[in-house]
Amino acid sequence: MKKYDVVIIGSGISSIISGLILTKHRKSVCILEQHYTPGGYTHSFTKNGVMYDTGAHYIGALDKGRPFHTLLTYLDIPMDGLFFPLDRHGYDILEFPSFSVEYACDYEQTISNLSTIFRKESDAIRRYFDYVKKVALQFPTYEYDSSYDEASMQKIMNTSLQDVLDTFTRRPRLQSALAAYCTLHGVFPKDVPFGIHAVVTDSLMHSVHGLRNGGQAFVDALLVRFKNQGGELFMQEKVVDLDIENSLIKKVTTASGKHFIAEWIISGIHPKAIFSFVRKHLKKAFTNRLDNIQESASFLTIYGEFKDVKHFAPLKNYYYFQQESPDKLIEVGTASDTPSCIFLSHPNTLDRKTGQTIIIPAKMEWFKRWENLCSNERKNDGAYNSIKQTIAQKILKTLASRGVSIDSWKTLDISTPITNRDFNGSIDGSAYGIYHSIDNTGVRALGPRTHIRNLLITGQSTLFPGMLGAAISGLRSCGHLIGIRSLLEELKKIQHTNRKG
Amino acid sequence: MNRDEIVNKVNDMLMQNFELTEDKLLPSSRFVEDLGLDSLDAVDMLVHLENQLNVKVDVEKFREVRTLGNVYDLVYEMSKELT
Repeated sequence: MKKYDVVIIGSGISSIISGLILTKHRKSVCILEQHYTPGGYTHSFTKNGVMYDTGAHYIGALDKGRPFHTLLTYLDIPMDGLFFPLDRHGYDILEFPSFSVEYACDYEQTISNLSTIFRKESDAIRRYFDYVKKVALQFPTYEYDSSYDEASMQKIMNTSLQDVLDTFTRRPRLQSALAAYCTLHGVFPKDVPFGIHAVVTDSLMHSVHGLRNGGQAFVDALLVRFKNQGGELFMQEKVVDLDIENSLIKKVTTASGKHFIAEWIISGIHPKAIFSFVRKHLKKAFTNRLDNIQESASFLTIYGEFKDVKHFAPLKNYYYFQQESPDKLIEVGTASDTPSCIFLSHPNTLDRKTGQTIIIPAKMEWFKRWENLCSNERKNDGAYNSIKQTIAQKILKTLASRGVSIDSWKTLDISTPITNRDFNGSIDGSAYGIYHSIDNTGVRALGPRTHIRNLLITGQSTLFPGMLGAAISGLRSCGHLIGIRSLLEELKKIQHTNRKG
Repeated sequence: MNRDEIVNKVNDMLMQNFELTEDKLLPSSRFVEDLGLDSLDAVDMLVHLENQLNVKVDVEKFREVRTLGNVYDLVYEMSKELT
């Protein structure tokens, strides 16, 4: 039996980025994916000739010299044709009940937009964004700085966004506008480490791109490179067991009865899923902790198309918030409640190959009755389809009440937390895996190192939410195998050259 | 919370989660040598301490602790600061 240096479980972005870094460093690597399609939440699908993304809607930090671009350059990924820029002068329109504001790929522009609405708070707005910028620069795996200050890192990972907001302004309306990107990590302002919120915000303040041919094309490009570097990808190989001896994984077994052996195992799947295989080898201190960690909210997506997109400016996303209070921004109530937030992805007017998605935060418990049915059974279940349609109607009605012309909208499909769970293996269909609160991140994070000595964990469901977060966490996990300092130094050199150029 | 209450709470947490027996839980007990705990166990301990005692522990100070006595002192100090 072939012995690999590293077996990677799951094929989401963090897993593939890990595979690319390791094969670049001449490690023998294989990736095991349970599905017929690689990519995890980067999965996209085509229906009636129109492409839809399930999880990857827009990405930050992709301009030359920015962190994601630097990482892809380092990994020799040809980026031509994969991405297209959204509207730099205003890529996100945040619609609150009493005001509307645009975020731009420019700190000054965004500060100015907000200051026009909150005139008396313009100084606070500027100081807040200065602090976002400063904190993002301190993040070692974002700015590729190997000489970071540990004490400063601890501070930004131990301070909540809400605490930071309170130091700049006490006005809930302004706090809500500044905390809007809680939608992009799924953690409430009182719980999210400011470091995470700052990186997510900063990454979009410099550049925002959509995926020209969907997340799948991006994943395919990464996998071509991975295979060219000798990496192997095995599809429809669901891991069902890990053999342990002396706190080391000796063998990975899949449902098809195949065995894989390696010096190291990297898991990119949900931490609760991977540790379920080795539970009896773990101390109660860890399993009790793991059991008590809550999940980030799940989501419900309507896939479809506006035949008439006149209502929407091209290359902009729209957020419709129901409340103007930071603690209510991403609240999830019952299925019959008006959604706290509705996200409407940009209509891609560059071509009509990609469709639009409308997303709301949702809970698995809304669909508890159907959680044990397989996809085909659900498809034919009248009550399941009926509740999906009822929720979709409610969303469209809410949009109409906010002035959106929905007459030309045509719904193609609706996915629920059950769909998310089945496709991505996330517990209860959570959007970002575990709830990335202060209690589960930074020094308190579950990984990358684990109590199983040759198991590293990575990915947005464990370490850092979002696509950029997944990439960063892949980098961080590989750092344990090939040295994080040298890795960051290599990346820094590329970043420096690209920024100069 | 007085110091004795803190000692009891910390010891209960250690017995419950790390399956350590009471006779090992002495102020002089060293994490690694006497209790067999490593750096990852220390992270789990930090989280359990915070949850059970409802305090946020100063991570930089927690890195310095080497014995159980150091833990009692740190938690006592932090709970005093809170009150």
